[in-house]
Amino acid sequence: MNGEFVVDSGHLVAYEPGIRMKVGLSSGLVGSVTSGEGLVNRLSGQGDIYLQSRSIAGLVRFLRPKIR
Amino acid sequence: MQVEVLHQPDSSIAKIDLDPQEELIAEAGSMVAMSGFLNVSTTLRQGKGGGVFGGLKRMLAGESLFLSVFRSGTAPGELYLAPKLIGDILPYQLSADRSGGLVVQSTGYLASTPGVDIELGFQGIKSIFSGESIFWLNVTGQGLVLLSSFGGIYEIDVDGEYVVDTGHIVAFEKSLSFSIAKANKSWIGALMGGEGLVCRFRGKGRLFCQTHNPGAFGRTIGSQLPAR
Repeated sequence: MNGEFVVDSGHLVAYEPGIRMKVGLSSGLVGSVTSGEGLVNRLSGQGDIYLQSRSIAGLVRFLRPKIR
Repeated sequence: MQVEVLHQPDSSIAKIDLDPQEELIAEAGSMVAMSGFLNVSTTLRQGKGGGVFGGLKRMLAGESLFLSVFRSGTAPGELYLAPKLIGDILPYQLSADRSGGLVVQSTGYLASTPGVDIELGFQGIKSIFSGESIFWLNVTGQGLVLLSSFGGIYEIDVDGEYVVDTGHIVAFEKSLSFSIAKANKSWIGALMGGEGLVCRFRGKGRLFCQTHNPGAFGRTIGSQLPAR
């Protein structure tokens, strides 16, 4: 990556030390709550970042209603 | 706009390259990562099924109430989307002249381009007995839809009659008609055989099936987890 990148906090695995990370909202306050994205990580700089395509939170959200 | 699906089939993730001034609508919460300057907004509106009522109908269908809209400004942007369960992603191109649209199982929607209308469809009383969701999404218009599945997706060209277990359907073209039937001739056989009810498709068109059944997975795992 080069520049600024936004990553969902449940999907970020690792990033190179040259990159700075900030925690922020994906859009406005209302937008972040309603969009289901919640908090995101804002990464800026140059280097490699590693993502996972599935998050634990997503699996939990699917399973929770199935528990009696 | 260019869509590339990576890490298929079990961990698939869609990498979408947006050209300047392009827009993509996606299920809320499906964003994994994106370029920092992409504009994100939340909407209830989606073609004919717009407004608060449309959003509530979408909730009934097992979809999220809100949809996220990703807009690229003056510069091209990059966006990654993934469904929450282990499974595949299928890009499907809708054109006005071909087969008049797609019927999607309610959790199978991931994203679409602005020209696509998503509407909650009620497939009649028969689908209540299918053991799966009552509601299906009617996808019409022109553009690209990204479908998500649980497990791998495979495509079947139906010409005539075809039978699929109700939990394994992702989507089918509207040129196909379907009815719910029991897998076995006798009711006892249908219940004991574990197959339960099946969908019987008729006509000519494409049908997309998934290798796993989310309902069955949820029941297997859910019953073994401690109570809340």
